[in-house]
Amino acid sequence: MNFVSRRLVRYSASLKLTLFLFLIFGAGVILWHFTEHELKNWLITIPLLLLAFNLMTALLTNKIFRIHGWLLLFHVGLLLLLLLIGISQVTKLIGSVEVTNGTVYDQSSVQWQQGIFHRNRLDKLQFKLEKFTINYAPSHGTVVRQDTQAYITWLDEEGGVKKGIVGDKVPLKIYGYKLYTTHNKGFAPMFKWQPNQGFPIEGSVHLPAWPEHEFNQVNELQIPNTPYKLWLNLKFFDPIFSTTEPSTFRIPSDFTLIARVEEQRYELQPGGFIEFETGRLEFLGLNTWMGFQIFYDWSLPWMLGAALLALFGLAGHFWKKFAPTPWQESLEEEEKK
Amino acid sequence: MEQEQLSLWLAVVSYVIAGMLAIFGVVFAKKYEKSILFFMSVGLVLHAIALGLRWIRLEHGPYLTMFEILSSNLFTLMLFFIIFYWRYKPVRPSAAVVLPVLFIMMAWMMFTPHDAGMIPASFDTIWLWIHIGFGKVFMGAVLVAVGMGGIIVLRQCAWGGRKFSNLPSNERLDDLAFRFMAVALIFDSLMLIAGALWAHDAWGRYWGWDPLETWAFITWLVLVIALHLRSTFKLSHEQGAYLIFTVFALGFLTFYGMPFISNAPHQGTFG
Ligand code: HEM
Repeated sequence: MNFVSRRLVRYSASLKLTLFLFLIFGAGVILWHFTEHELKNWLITIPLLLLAFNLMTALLTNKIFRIHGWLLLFHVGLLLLLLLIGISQVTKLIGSVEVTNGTVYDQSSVQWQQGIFHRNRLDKLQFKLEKFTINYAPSHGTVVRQDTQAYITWLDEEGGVKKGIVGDKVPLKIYGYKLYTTHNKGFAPMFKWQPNQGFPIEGSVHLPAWPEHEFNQVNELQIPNTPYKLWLNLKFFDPIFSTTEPSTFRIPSDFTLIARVEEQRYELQPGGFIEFETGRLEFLGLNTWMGFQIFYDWSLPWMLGAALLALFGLAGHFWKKFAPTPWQESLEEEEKK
Repeated sequence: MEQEQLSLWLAVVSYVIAGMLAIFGVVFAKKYEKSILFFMSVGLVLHAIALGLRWIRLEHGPYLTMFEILSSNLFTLMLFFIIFYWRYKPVRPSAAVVLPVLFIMMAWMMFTPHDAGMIPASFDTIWLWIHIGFGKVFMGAVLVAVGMGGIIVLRQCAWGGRKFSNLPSNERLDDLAFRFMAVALIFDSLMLIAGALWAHDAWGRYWGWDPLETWAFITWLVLVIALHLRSTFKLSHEQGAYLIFTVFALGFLTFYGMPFISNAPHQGTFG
């Protein structure tokens, strides 16, 4: 038994296994790109787990690490990094949400992916996008996006009201989540549905991101609790950006919203409406929306620390290995022989 | 604009003269070392002028379009190699290997459209410089290793054996090459770390396996594999050389084969 377990340790601490696992890892990363399978992340996770195991047994049993302290430091840093990557995977959250200008964040429109141990508190977040500005500058006949500012009012964890400007590199931080503005933003026609019986409801439809999908400003609107479905298309000829002057993202001053309901086509201006059998849909006007990226990962600074520690160890290892015999000297020694 | 083109052309001509001299020097067993250093340095100065003029004209550094990236990397690789050439006299004939490798880059650069590009907002950061700077040292170090590896491989044939006979032994060349590979690993790691920090700043995520990140990672992994292979098995010097070539080729593909400006994540576009 002892013999068997010793052999097992030897195999699992073997450097040849390391090499094999490196290859598997590389292959896994490449394969990852060619599959859409829902379990595809295991292609990366499994080799990493095996490498971590391999490294751990080697650290415990390989004598070289007792002789070469720097090499030990380096590999311990790597092991920590692997560990943190693992922890990060099960505790992090990545998501995105679009918020209509002047409205509050709505948890139901968030799309996200989270690790199994993530304590999801997206429902706790409360903030309002008061307004946002995105500046553009002319550049060689086209325009370049510059800075983004989103004016946010939010409730912190104690329920205090806070106001601030977030954008590009300054995220909104609430409940450990970081919300970044993105280049995703666009137009949002707003509607009011007045049923013949019952209360009116208001809402907006987010058209595809602009200017990225400039020529595809199309979306559908399903009026809630009715069978009515509209196909919407925003048309305008007013250039939003100037190629000679600084400009900002704004609503076009002259636009038409084309709506199609089955075979019927309508051209709507703000205040325009469409009558249905059970109610009336009013086009209130055009608004904008901003896409936010949501991010939660507490392990990041620790990962950076582990990576730098590893690197420090690596630099030390190579220094100790090479500095005592500069190459030129080793050459002279060889020539003497 | 014309001065810029002219100095670029003259720089390339200077580099090519240096390269030709290096090759003739090896073939005809002549010592042109001073002239080679001179032409490389003149080329570098002219190249710096071309880069500088373009920088002033476009108001941004050479890191946006394929042409700019090729040009600035050619510049830093040259710079790195000139310093090496100056400091490591015994292996100067490796210029006959290294400069032709750079010729490929020069040809590619000259045939790439020289148009201007647009700066994404995410480029307005110090991380750009840190990240790119580390990357350039990484490639420079691998390039020197390629020079050593090239001599080792050329020596396998009788002709190469004769021509490079008074250079240090394969063992010493291999040693030098892998010292530079060690430097390369440090700087490649630094580049990845800086890149991840930048990505976190710019896109709110530090690693997303986009094509560029994937290739950069594969390059790093192959570099690690190369070093581990060398300490695990008794590799021959030629095998070591081929590992170096592989790392260089991957690094090259990562830098130039992949679209440089990776797409920011496009989630949440519709809704
Ligand atoms: C995961 C990423 C890893 C990286 C980046 C890495 C990198 C390195 C580097 C650069 C060296 C120094 C080589 C030299 O001095 O030229 C080294 C040596 C070594 N590594 Fe790793 N390593 C990794 C994982 C592992 C694992 C999983 C093991 C477990 C077996 C391991 C065991 C060793 C040993 C025993 C040495 C000393 C080899 C020798 O000099 O004889 N490494 N590693």
